[in-house]
Amino acid sequence: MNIVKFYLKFTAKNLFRHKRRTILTAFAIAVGIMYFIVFDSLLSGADRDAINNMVNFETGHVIVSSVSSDDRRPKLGELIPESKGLAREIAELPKVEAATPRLVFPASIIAGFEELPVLGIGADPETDERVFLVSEHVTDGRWLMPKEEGAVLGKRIADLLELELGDVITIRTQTVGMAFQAIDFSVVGIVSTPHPTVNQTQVFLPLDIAQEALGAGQGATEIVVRAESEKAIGTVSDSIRSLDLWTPSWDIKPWYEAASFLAIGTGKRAFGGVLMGLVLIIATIGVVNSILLSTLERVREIGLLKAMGMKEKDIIRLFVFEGCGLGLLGGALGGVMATVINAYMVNTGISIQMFFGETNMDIGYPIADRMFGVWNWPTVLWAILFGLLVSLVASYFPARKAAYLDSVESLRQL
Amino acid sequence: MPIVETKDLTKDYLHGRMTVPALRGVDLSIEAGEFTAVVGPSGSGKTTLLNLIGCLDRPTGGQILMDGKDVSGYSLTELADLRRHKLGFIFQTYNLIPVLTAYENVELPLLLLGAQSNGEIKDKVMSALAEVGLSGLETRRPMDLSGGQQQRVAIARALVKKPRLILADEATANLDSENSEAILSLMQELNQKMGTTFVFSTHDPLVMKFARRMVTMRDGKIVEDERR
Repeated sequence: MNIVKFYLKFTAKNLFRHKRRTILTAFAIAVGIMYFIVFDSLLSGADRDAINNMVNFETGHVIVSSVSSDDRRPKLGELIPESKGLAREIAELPKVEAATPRLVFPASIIAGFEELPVLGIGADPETDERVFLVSEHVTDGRWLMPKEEGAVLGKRIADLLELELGDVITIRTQTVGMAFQAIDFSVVGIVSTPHPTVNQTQVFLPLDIAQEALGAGQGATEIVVRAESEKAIGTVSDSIRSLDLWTPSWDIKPWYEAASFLAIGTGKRAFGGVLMGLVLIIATIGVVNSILLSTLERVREIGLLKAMGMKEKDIIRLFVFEGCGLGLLGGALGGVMATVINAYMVNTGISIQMFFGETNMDIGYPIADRMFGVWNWPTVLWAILFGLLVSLVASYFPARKAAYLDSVESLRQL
Repeated sequence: MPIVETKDLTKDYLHGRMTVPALRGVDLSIEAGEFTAVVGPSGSGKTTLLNLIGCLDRPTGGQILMDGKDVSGYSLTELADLRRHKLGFIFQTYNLIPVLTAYENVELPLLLLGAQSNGEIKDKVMSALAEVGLSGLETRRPMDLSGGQQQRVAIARALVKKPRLILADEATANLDSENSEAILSLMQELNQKMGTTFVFSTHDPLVMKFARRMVTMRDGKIVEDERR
């Protein structure tokens, strides 16, 4: 026990023999660790926010869809008929919180001489807000009312077309029978959500008006379901499939199958891993260099320790302790630096506008304005342990070289 | 039984393609309590002999018997064990560890031995430092001590575990005559009071004055072995 205490004391003293070298090496490790923690925090935060945005503004937990292809153009005979009734039936299933029908169709919005392609969404004013949070993000005006020829626009659309509440717009689209249709609506609300797609491309209309305009009867293209929890998605999907009204040609998708950003996230993580690897290589070189210099400067000391009966494995242990000390210092410093930066990332976040000069920009994630970090303590711990492990491995080889120096030659060294 | 005995000991060094014999058949026996100086010109083999007796190196031929056991074929680990338990070293350049205090430098051999309480270790270190006249300087680092004081710390370090044999290689070569004499007196006193066996390699005529046995070497052989 005494000898272990001695090793620790000796290690601490040796680390501060060359303060500047120790600090620089520890700093290199710290930067690597900090980089990894902050990068992981931002990615995890972006994933979390993107998932929330997908579920709350685009897909719910589960989408029952009549259109199996990616082309969302509603066609006659491909609609879910009596959609409100089916949505009600689904809403009463166990583990389902709410369900709402939506009639989604491609359209153009015409305001004066300007025209913009958009996605028209016929939403049931009563049930839509039980599944989605869009209605909570109305920044101007109000949410939809049944049987009213009023439209709610994404903020970006309103900005681009310079539209204000009360302005009249024309929605041009095709009916389910492929005939052209143009209807005038008054702007009753503008929404600004954390999901850029909603702000940029979506125009909400009351479901009954949209059904009438498209000649869709009581049909909808999808029924969106909010489950009680993420875990209930499988059970809910199975329950929907077992309903009498279920038609095998319909499609049922959990939100994550519709989330293309998840693949982007995996790619970004791999890229982050490569960058982290590079930083850790630099840290490894720092540790190897530091321990190697340390052994070269202390050849005579090594000879002396061996003369006193210290075994090779104990000498290796001494230098590996030093390497670990560097790793620990670097890890602690990196952990503190990362915590400070991450506190800012978690509380204030970084503005996407700051990087790209524009809000609602598509960065591959359904996030509109700011990217926030998350606290992920296992990652912090893992990064620090990884730094320690890298230092341990990096110091082993120079330590081994030192331990097997010839005692007599070592003692002769000037 | 002698503490250490060499029989027909040889040691060759390779210099490029040339083999240089450093020892050519040395027979030497050191008894407990002796105060022996190994003298001779540079290159005569004094340091090589001390390194072999000190188990820091392995012979090319012959035998080294430590307390009657032949150790010439011992592994590196076995030799390290032997050094740890039975041998102490004093070097020309003191070889103190610069980041450790005088106390910690002396404490180190005891920690390597293990199985001792903190109290025991402290008593032994303080007593060894007192023996060499360094009480009160325990917390100083080598750089804050004079050459003579550093060599005293080195002696205390060699002495603290009460080894069977202390080997001193040119231990006074870096000291002025006043300090050399003081160090030699100290070692002689320790030899007489504690019965510690000392073997020196030296050029210093002062050592010859203090030694009770003088072994003279030339060209890797013992040419004279004089007891006084």
